[in-house]
Amino acid sequence: MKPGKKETGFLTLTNVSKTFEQGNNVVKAVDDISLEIMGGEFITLLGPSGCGKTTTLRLIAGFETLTTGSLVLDGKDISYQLPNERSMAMVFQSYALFPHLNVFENVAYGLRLKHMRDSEVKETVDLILHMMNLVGLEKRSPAQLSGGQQQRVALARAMVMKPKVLLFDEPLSNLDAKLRTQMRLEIRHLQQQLGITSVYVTHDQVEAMSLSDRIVVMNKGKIEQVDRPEEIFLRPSSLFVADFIGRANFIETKVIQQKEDSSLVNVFGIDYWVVCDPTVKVGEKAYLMARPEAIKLQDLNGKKNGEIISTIYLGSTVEYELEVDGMNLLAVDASPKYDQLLSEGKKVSIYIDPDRSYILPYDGNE
Amino acid sequence: MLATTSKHKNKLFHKISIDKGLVIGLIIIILFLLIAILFPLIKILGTAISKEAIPYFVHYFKSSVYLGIIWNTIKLGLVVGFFGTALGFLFAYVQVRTNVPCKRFMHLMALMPIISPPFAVATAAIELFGRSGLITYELLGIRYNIYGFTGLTGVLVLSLFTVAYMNFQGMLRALDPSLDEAATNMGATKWDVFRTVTIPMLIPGIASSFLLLFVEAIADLANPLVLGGDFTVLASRVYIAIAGEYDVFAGAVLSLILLIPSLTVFILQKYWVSRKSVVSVTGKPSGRTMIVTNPFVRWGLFILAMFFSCLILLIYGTILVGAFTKLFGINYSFTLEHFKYVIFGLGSQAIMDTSKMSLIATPIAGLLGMLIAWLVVRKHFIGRGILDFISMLGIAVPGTVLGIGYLLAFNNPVIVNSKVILPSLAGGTAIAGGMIALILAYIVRSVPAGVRSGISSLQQIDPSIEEASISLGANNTTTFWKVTLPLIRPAFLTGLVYSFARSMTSLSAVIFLSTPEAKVMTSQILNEVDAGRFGNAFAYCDMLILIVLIVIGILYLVVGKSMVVNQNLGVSS
Repeated sequence: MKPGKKETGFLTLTNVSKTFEQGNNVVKAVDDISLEIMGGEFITLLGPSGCGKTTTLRLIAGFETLTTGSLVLDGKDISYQLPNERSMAMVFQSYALFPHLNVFENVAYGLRLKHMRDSEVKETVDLILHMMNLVGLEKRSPAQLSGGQQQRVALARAMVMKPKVLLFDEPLSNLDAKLRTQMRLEIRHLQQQLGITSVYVTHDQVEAMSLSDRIVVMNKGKIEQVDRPEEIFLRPSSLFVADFIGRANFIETKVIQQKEDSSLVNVFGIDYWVVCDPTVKVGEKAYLMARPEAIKLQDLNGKKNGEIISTIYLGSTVEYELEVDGMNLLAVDASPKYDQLLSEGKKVSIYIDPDRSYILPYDGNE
Repeated sequence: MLATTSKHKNKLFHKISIDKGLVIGLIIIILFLLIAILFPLIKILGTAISKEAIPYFVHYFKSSVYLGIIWNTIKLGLVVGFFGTALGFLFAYVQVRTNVPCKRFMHLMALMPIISPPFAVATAAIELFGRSGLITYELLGIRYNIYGFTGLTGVLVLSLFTVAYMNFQGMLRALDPSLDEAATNMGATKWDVFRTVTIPMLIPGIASSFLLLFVEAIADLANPLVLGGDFTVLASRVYIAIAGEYDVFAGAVLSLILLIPSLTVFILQKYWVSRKSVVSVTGKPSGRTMIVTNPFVRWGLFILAMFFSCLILLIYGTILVGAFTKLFGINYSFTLEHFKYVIFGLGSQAIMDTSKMSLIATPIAGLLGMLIAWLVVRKHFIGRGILDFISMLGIAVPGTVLGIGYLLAFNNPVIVNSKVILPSLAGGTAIAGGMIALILAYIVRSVPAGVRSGISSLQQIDPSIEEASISLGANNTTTFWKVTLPLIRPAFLTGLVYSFARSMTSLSAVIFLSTPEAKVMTSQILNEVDAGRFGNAFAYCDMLILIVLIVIGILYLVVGKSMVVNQNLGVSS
């Protein structure tokens, strides 16, 4: 579903901040963030632990009270509405199923609070259990379910409420890798089917990439970048984003010339035209961000200014750590051939694929 | 769309929504704490530092008799604290770290004192070890004088060590066996492990048991009254000041003197020692608990623990048999006279009144305990720590002191500007014959245990389970009833059981509040003991124990049934 297609579930955060007092210290967990989430959009808050992503989610849910700023859902200010009165449902990291209720009653919990008739409750719950592949487990207690099943029940319990916004707090982090991939697909599928606005918190960039319409990268309580996954990956707005999403080499350089959105730089003796961050000007220092896949190692003629320090064979890829002009770089060969593996100590020439690179402003810290 | 947000931004004052249920709960608790705890304590303080009371202070701190009483109290606290902690540790260590027979029996014996009425152990000890005692005189031919410091200490240790036992048992179970394994792996012998790992880890527990026993020992009234002899302590002196001399000022001043060490030690225990605990309850314990294998150590500990278990059994056996015996020490023939007196005679009203009041107090105390625990653990509001502290005062303040506070606070109506704000609650002329003050006292004394077990239970439960309920549309009240309470049902049950047992066996706090319309069983027992009618006293004790056991059984059936709550699920990762 394309963002903005739905009428309901349009959520706006305006200048939202949250501070906590810890003894004498005041910690700014969320620092003046503004964000518009379209109806039906799947948006992910991504960042390292302590970046404020979970606090932001809890502010949206109403479990934390705003220090400043406002929340508006479909034109209605909900900044100070009680969490149980917000049309939102949350899926928790720990599943948070009611251990004293069976699967059916867990899912029916919210419906019963609405004083729905028993027959209607049964009909609604049965439908969602069918959708979530949970038929036959109605009478089981949560303790008798596997991790994946528990998370499905948690998902069903939230979705059955038909909330305007679904909130996910790292729901897959307690599952094993294989199940995680499978659940990821299921969540995306269901969300698109039902078209419910979703806010998803994770520190796993693969999860963020595969699920989201847009990703919000957060750092130290602030938003670093909000964009579609491919933009975030290929056109990061800062060193932090580039470093956090995927792996990258940052090579210090200077902009020689500019045309349209590209800049000319010279790296390791070769000139490249690379797409450039709009804030970088001619003559300024800058970073050439090159993903490991963008670095091509050639055993051909030309200047052999690189030396392989280590070779790590990973099956479908090979990673090379190399030294070039006193700098360490990481290169990945995505389709290694058996007889073309480069051994440690080997001299190579280096070519950077400009289409998979980007020029970032120099911040003087790196 | 942006226009709407900026419009909201311009609003200077947001109306913050408040959960009504939460506010009502908070108001009820604050009112309860104010009326039932703070008001009586302030009354005592007001009386003790009034102009009329100053000469008492001068007199007490100049008189060698009173300084002796103060020293006696401290000495009793220290010695009982030491031996009670040691005995509790012995029982817990045998229970957790040895593989010996009769562990179940020893466990039950260690728990017996919880349901034991006051006077029961002391009276039985006199019958067994006193001047004409069954064991000392009849068997060994010794005329032993049990009255005084030694006898009192022995009985108090046996009556109070349960607290230390439960404390140590929990801690020893929670100790991560992998620490022992790590030490062994580095070459430590079992003795080294005990000396360098187990004991250091338990030091906060040892300190906290010692301090708790100290507080309980100096607050105890029943045993010094019966066994004290010439050895007077503050608690019994306070009692005599009020019940014998009718001197309210003396009572209030002595109460204040008793309150100072009690509260100091309590605060020390709660805010300092318990924070030092290094035993972590979280995390999966790995490995298997190391068991004592050395036969000398193992059987040595077993014999020691068995000796005390048998002693406790003997004492409770005496309480049972004594009720059917004509005159212990002189005439051992069978009789039902004592029970006839207790059940059909003068005792029946006391049994009915006490049971009725305890039954009213129990659910209220149980719910209040869980509610306070929930507020303290889950809700963030200013004054949370104060709420926790005041609710614990019910147990930190010695019962005698609380009783005098009630006497001072509730015997007369509270009148402000010639308007009755609070009618008289205590005494025969009060509404409901003074039952309200008694019930309040029962509740105040029972709430702390419920709060403690509620808090530790809630801390084990992932808060997101309750958040899930709220996120699904339930308010705080609904969430508390439908999710929280079912999840902490074991703690709730513990709170209820403890409340009932505590209320039925309570003496010091209610002895001054007993009225002809609201008779307290324990105060009747005191009368019988005072008059030397030990058989009647034993019959009362047996009836009391029977009632407590029956009610505990019913509570387990009603509240404890279908306890399928899987705690594992609730444990936060």
